[in-house]
Amino acid sequence: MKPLSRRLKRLGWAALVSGLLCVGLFLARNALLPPVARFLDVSEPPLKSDYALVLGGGSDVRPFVAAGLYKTGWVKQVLLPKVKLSPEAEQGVMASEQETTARVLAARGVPAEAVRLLPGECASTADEAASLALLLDAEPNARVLIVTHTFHTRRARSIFHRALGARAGQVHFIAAPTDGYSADDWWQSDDGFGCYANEYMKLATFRLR
Amino acid sequence: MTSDASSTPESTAASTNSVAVPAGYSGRKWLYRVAAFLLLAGAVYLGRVPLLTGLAWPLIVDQQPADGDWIVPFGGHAQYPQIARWCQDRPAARVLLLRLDLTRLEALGVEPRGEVVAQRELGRQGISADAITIVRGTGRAGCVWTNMRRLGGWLAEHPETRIVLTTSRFGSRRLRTILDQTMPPEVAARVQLWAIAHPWYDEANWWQRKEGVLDLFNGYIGLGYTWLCGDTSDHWQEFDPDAFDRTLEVAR
Repeated sequence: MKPLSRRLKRLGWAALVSGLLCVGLFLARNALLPPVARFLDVSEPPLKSDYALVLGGGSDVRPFVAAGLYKTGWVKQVLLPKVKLSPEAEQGVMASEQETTARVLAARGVPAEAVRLLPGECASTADEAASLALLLDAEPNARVLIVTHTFHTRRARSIFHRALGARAGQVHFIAAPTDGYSADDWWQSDDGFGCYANEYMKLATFRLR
Repeated sequence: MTSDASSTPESTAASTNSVAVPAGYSGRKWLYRVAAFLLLAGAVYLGRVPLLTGLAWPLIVDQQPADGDWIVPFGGHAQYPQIARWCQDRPAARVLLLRLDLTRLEALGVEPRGEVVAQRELGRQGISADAITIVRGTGRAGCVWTNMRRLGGWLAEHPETRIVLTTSRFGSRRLRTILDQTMPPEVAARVQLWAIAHPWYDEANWWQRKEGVLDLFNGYIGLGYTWLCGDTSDHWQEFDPDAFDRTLEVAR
């Protein structure tokens, strides 16, 4: 057999196997894709704690979860980070995220005296972890429930554990559900697909640092 | 037992002799490869600005200078001052606002309604309330597909109207794709996109900010998904805060 035809034959086999593999993966997507999302979820059931910390970036869901934790007696107070202003908030077109979160908490029945601000401006989860570390320096026995979206819990846990060191055991992660999709069907909507793709990219970047 | 002539010791030795590599050849080959790689890396580094700028271009559809009778604010940070300038250059121009269902935060009274914010901001920029028309519809306010269907319906009722739609820069190709899929071609042709740059970055410097990198990444993911899967907007389940509170109560 001539080398070129042998190569073509090999290429044909490789294409066939790849094609079959793709068809197999497509047919098995309902079984294969939920674990991809669940890998990111390291949330825990709630524990009786001193604070619920609402991480920035999801004021249409996360504060509702924190308010629920307060109202059902899981936490005594809610902590808010001072999130860096968006361009719209800088221009006064929209309220700051911190203000919106505080308004949601009030609307959901959390009194103003039960809401406390974390020190320092936060532009990332790492900044929020550093702010919480300062609070835990002042209150070394406090236990904190960290409220963030399901898909964000793994990366957030790594970031907080890195920032808190020996105090990492004092924080626990509570998953806020996502609007529109869940771990069972995230690939069926553009929001869900974009969100998980984005989170995996951020997780990879974090691991490489 | 038969023996193949090509596999005799003599022929193997001859074959080996015929392809014998001169001493130093392999080392030189590697040196050339390393030099070529370094040259390529240097060229990529020197040309990084046009290369990275070019990476953003497939995401952008900017049909400027856009000409139309109406302008629809639909995205793009810091859009209101630019819309006001556009209107000031065209005295007959009008602004069209799309109003779908209330968002959770709007329904709770935590955030003002989208059209109220738009009217307030345009008013601050000198656009009179008479120049603003609100088109109401039903459906999820954040859903681009639903918004474009509603806009297509309005355009079908106003066959002579041409509109300019503002959008974020890296989301403009996706919006054009959705627009072309939700509207008949003759209607879609009457919509021009104005891709407004983010105040912190654009295609010429997106890689210098984390927000820019994420925006570009999300732009490609969103565009790819839209091309491959089309409209999946009916697949949506809303978070119910009251139901969530009940699960917390039960867990106690």
